[in-house]
Order: sequence, then structure tokens, then C-alpha cells
Amino acid sequence: MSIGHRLVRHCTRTATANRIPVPRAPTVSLLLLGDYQHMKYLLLIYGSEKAMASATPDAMSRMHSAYGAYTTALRESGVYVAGEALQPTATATSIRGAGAGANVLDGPFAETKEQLGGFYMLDVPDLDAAIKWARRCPGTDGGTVEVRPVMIIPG
Amino acid sequence: MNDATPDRRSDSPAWRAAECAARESYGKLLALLAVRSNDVAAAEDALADAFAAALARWPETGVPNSPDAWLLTAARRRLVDGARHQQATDRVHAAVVAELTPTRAEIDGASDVPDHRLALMLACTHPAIDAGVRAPLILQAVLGFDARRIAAAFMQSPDAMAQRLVRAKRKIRDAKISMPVPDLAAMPERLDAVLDAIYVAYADGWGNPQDLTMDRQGLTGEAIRLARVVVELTDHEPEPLGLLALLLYVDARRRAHRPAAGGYVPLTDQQPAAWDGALIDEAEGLLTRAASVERTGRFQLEAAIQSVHGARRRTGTTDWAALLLLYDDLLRRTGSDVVATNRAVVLAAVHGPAAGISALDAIRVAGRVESYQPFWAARAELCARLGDRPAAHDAYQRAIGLAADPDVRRFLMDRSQLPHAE
Repeated sequence: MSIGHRLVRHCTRTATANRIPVPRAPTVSLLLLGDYQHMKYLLLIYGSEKAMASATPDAMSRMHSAYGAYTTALRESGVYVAGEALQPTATATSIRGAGAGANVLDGPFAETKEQLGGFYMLDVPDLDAAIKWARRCPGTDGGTVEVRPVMIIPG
Repeated sequence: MNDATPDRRSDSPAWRAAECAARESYGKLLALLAVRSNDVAAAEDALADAFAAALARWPETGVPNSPDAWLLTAARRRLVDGARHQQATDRVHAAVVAELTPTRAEIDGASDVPDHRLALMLACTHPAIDAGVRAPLILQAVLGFDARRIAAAFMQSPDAMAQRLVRAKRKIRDAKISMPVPDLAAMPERLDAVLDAIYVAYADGWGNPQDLTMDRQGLTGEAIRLARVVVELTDHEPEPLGLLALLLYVDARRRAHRPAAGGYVPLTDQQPAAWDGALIDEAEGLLTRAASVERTGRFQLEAAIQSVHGARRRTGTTDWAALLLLYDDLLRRTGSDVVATNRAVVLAAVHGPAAGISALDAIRVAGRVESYQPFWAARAELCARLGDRPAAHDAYQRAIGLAADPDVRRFLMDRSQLPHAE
């Protein structure tokens, strides 16, 4: 018999003595409800298009399921503002300069190892909450998720 | 500083010996310096300079007989005339090293360094300190972690973590949060806060698969080290013993939980042969000692729960009825949603999945588990066992969406048998 089992007996003995209901401590979010400032954060999802192109159909469908579940969780938790997946950078067009010097170029602005593949916009109390959600994003598995606070323009 | 001496290279054995001796002393020395001044940041700065001086000096002279006394004397000197020097600690000049190097007489005078680490930990976990920064603050003050490493361990932004630590230390100084020699009997709830911070540190490490492969160099290992320190400093109070036992029971399963080949294995699917029997034995011994005091508390109960799980290595079965009694008591004491979720799973094992689901739904009414992944994983599992496929699907969907760990996400996706295409 383990020591844990012996403690069970102790628990049943003291159970009646301890039956004072402990008030549940409100969580931080409850304490702050009503007067906290919401912030919008953009989650920018970077990943390797090359790896994506060579992924098996099974891996692709699992990824879609994972993103579907993630989007559901964001919505049900009331933090979802927007989110989209982007077509590959081969479809990108960049415009650089203005007026007579304007250039319209094929492809993305910068060549990088990881490419922007999608984004979410979240409405959460603070950076910690945004990071917590970013960590749950399926894009962190083999890629990078950048968290950017949206600028608040006064007035 | 003269860098020509090969012994000063940071990979030389002499340097490493110096660093190791320094690291062992850090918490004790910081506590002693901070208790006097109530200024953790100033004590850290002084100690950092003393360490830099030691690392410049010891490789040549050898580690002194009493490294604590050497460092303490140097740091005190630095505190006294701290304002006179402003150079960064990584560029300590030979002149400063010479100036900080204590004399024989000074070292002899300081040879007995009292241990005030518990007072420092109590200040770090004072109710006035933001709960989220208590564990990081302890790691920094007692083990000397820098903000970057702490942020990485807790998976938070390094800048934000550094700011919080600075703010917390300023609060300790400006609000004069006291660091008395603690009277534990008079303030059990203060000791609880220390234990809770250590527990949080362990739990955060446990949630990070990389931490578990770091061979106890990560947050889990450091939390166990801290728990051992507290056991030693509290003269074997039952709750610190309970916490240490709890961490060892759980730690005994790290390999079974995260096999070297990758993946995630929940407790009920683990093979007891993959557990570390020696650690479980040590935990049993600690919990036995704690129980002999007959002052049951949250951590002893949590340890007892793990003890019952651990008994499967001898009996081959899990005693769910015993677990339910322990969880009932634990829930009464804590009112925690995490405990309530686990209790519902145990309740289902004893009284069937429907009972477990009702218990889960009762927690949900309070509305705080909406983004708590284990809640949804538990609900999915129980709905599936009951044969309610649509409800199981919805709950799996939520759990998968809330999983931050790819291995857990894969595990849940396999369990859910979600249709592979949307």
C-alpha cells in the first residue's frame, strides 16, 4: 500500500471537519472585466512555402483541421476579429515608389526563408494573452508566428 | 583586463570551477545583501560585480576556501562605494578587481554566512507582488537566472519579463516589503505562496516538451532544486515536503510522458516500467515524513494523488475510488477549476462517463474554462466514451484549437478521428 492510500483514510476522517466551502478566487480576467482596455494584435504566420508544397495530402488535411479547430477556439473564446490564409508568394505583386518612378514588380517585396502565409487579428487584454494564443497557433509547428500590436491612433 | 592568460578563457576548467562555486553561493549571498538593504536590484548589481571580479581572479589564484565569504566581502565593498563606479559588469577593470579583492582578515571575519534565502523568497511572493512575476522573481533572486533565460523558460517576451522583474524589485524596495526571519507557524499562507511559485515554475516547465529533454537543466529541474532548498530551510514542515514529493512523483514520469522518440503519452496510457522507480521511492519517503506530522495540506494531497497513481507499478491497476476521495478533499480546499476538471475525470472512472460530464458542465457554468485545453480534452474523451459523437467532436475541436504543443495537438487529432478534410 502506498503512502497515498494511507492519506486517503486521513482524508475521509477529516472530511467532515473540513466541510467549510472555500470561496472560489475570481480569475484575473473577471477582476478586470468591464474596465480593461482591449488591444488588437495581429498574428502573422510565417512558414516555408517549399515545405508546404511537398507536404503529403494527409499532412495538408491535418493542418487544415488544426487551423479549423484553432479558429473555432478563438471564436468561442471571444477573441477572434479576423483571420485569413494567403495564396503563395508566387501570386504576389509589389508596388514600389510613386508617380513617375513607380515600379510594379512580380513577387513579394523581400526574398526570405519563411513566407507570410496567413494572419489572425485578435482582440485581447494584453500582450501576454496574445502570446498565449500565438503559442496555440498551428503555424508555430515548423514555422514562426509574429505578434504585432495594432497601433492606436489618438483622436 | 589582461586577456592573454589562457586560464581566463570561459571554457577553461579553472573558470568553470570558479563559476560553479559562484553559482552555488548566489542565492545565499543575494539574500544576505538584500535583507539588509531591502534593495534586491542594488544587491544584484553589487553581487554581479563581485562575481565578475571572482571570475577574473579565481582562475589564477584558485577557488578560495570560503568562496561565500570572498564574494560577500567583495559585494559589500561594492555596495558601500557603488556610486563611484559605473562601468558595466562585463568589463570590470583590473583596478576594480584589485579593489574588490578582500583581504585575508576580511574573509575570516565573514566566514559564517547565514542563510536568509527563505526571507528573500517570502518577499518575492508577498501578496503585494503580482502573482505572475513571483516564480520568475524567485528564480532570479535565488538561482541568479537572467531575465532572458527566465522569459525563455516561461515562454514570454524577454523585454516584458525584464520590465516586470524590475518593477517587482522596485516595489519590494519602495513599499518596503519586509524580509524578516520568518515565523512559519504564524504565516502558513505566506509559505504557501512560495510553494505555489515553485509549483508554477515546475508546471510551466512540464508544459514545454523542450524543457523535459534538457536533462533537468530546465525549469522543471530548477523548480525541484528550489523545493529542496525550501524543505531544508523550513526544517521539514509538512507542506514543503509534500511539494517536493509531488514534483518527484511527476518527474519520475517525464520519460514515459515524453518518449525520446517524440510524442505525448497521457498518464493512463503510460507503462509503469518506463517510470523512474528510485524517484518514486524517494517521493514516498518524503510524503511519509510529511504525513507523520498530521497536518494535511494541498501539496500533500496532490502528492498523495500521485502516490496512488504510482502504486500502479506494483498493483497493475489504478485505485480510482481512493483518487476520488483525495480529489474531493483537494477540491474542498482549493476550489480550483484545474482540480475540478481532474476530479471529474476520476469521478467518471468510478461512476461512469455521464457523471463525469455533469461534473464538468457544473464547472463550465462559472465560465472560466472556455480556453482551458484539458477541460475540453476531458469532455471530449468522456462524450466519446458515452457514445455522443457530435458532442465529442465539438469538444475535441475546442481542445485541438487550444493545444499549444504540437505533440498534444497530434495526439488529440488522432483520438478525435476528425474527418481529415473540412
